[in-house]
Amino acid sequence: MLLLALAVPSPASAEKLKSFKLKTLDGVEKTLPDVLGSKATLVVFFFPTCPYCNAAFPKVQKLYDSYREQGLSMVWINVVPDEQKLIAGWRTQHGYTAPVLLGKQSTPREYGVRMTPTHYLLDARGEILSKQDGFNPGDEVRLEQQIQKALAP
Amino acid sequence: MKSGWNSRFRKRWLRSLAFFAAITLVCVSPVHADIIVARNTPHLSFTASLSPDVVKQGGRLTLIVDITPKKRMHVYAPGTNYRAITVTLNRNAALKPSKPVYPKPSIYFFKPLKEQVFVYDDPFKLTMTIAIGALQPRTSRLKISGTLSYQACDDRVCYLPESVPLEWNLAVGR
Repeated sequence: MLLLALAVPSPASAEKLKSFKLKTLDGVEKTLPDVLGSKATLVVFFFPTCPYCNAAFPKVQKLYDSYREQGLSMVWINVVPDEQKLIAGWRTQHGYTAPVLLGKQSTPREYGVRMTPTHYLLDARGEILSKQDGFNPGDEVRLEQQIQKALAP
Repeated sequence: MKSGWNSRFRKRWLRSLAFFAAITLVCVSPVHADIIVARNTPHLSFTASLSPDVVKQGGRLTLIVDITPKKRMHVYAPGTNYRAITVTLNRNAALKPSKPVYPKPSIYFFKPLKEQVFVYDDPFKLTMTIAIGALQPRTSRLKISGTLSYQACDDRVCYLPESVPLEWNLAVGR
């Protein structure tokens, strides 16, 4: 099985994810510091009709449920603005509770997102610990290991 | 199996040849540059041609989009929950485009969700007919524009939806 998880090499590990100011589904503006968890944050770029996102998200939601009490924060950023109207129904249909932010037309360019899902695992300061593009069954295991490592005391 | 692969390879090779021939045509002939659009994206290459090359009031045009997905790429056909490839024309009071006509898709088994989806992963054609209504008097050229929209995935990731602009500039005949 092809694992897509690519650990960011050490020089990039000190790189911070560029901050953003994006709206929630309720119209509240959030920045990256607003959503950072006490220990780690998983930022996922997605759009609701992306097949691999739909394959990944039940597992990613489980990671959120399992680790949020331990300091994991999560945010899913939609990168296709014309699918914004689908998001509320899509979340309800699948029972997703991870917070969603509405990306702008420029979001994919600003974050170099050419494919989805793109996962960034960040530490408490917003520094990139790892990046994973795409999803195949089994990738959640690697992601969980990275989260556990980030949350470890 | 081998001969199937060979025929598939030959078909792809001929399509590539046709695509590059179309690009050459576009580059060397100012007349054809107006009726054939050739584009190459990271996910597919295509030519979109209109015929005939002269527009007449009350006449019809045929738009043929020849699309070749890149290796391991697929785009979605209508009838799935995903974004189907489509061609749309921008509003123009003189034009009445039909809905695009799609060929029979392939069935792709999407392992991560264990679902079968309709896709195009081999070269295929979309066609559309365009009825020409009343044209402005003394118009010598008619600009037709639109987009080819699709969302491609390979066996690992999905790419962001794309909208490729199309534009033709045809002579108006009386």
